[in-house]
Amino acid sequence: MSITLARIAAGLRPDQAARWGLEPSLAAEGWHTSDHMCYPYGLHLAVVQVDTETGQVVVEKLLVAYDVGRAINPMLVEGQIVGGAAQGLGGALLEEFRYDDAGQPLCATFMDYLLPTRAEMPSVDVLVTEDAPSPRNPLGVKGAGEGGTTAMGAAIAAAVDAALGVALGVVELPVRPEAALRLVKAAGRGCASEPGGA
Amino acid sequence: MIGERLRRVEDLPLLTGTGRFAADISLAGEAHMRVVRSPVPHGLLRGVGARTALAVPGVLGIWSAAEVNLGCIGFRMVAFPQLLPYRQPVLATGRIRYVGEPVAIVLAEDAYHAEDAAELVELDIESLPPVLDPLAEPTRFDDEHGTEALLHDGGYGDVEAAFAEARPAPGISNCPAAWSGWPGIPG
Repeated sequence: MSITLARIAAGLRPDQAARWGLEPSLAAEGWHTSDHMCYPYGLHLAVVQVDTETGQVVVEKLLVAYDVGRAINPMLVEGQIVGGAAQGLGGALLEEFRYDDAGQPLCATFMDYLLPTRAEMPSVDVLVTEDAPSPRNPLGVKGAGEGGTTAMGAAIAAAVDAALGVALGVVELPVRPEAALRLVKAAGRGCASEPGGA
Repeated sequence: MIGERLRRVEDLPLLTGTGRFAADISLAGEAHMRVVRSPVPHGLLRGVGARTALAVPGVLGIWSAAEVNLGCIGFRMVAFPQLLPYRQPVLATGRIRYVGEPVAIVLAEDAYHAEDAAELVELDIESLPPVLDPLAEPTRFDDEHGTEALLHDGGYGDVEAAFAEARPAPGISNCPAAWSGWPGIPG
């Protein structure tokens, strides 16, 4: 279907806009539906400190960079990424849903299921780019909600390995202190006298 | 508008404690629901005894899948047809799959009586041994299906060459943790 500009101009009736208290203008509405997800891409960097006596892993600094195609509200995108990074840190170091031998859940309250809090979260540098808009929708937008989470486990695991000077040391998440302590010992970084005197 | 750093309109009421939530709303004649959940990880549901619980004052009704068939919880976007038989029913039908699985709902005039009545609902469950290790040998899921629901083989590019060139040679055994989308606090 095509329509001439003259026809649009005639139908617009700018003189009528004043009647409704509006500025004369021309508006169009459209619908777009997508039956497939639009994936973003990005990277995660983590700087961690491993306590060689207790095995506690402290994340000192995080950076998340994501190309979201087009940020409709950049402030919300950044907020989503920081929140996602907190979830990723929880999965990397704290959160685990465990069961006993009879199949009963052991982490059924937040006393047992550890969530990251402000105390565990370092500052997060966020870099949002719009270099590769999605061709799958008119705005070029891509998913932005889970970007902060996606690679956080791998980034923190790799940072623990790097801190201890081992390759492929962390093979399981979350990195609990006892697992980090085993890596400390395997890497020969442990203390002369072991904690607890065992 | 697009690309602007617009502040969220909901932040002020949420941060100053003046937000309203579903529980803040009270309508005349409203009913409160309490979910009765399975205490066992695996079993066959033989029946739901509601007689004692129905006698609690203010209880309006107690329904299990025998009374209301609410169907199964669907997949969000990516759906393998092989997984369809494994979908979880909204209310357990026949088979109990985990501690905390919803088996029945209690409707009452207030939340307190709903909670009291829910504790009196008797679940007749024939307990079965739970399957706890996702890497263990597959076993029976139900009469027609095994616990190995799907074998998915996918990739793009020259996967073999990429693995052959990788140093150190990777060997990945992936056992996803129950981390997102777990059932939360039972009860």
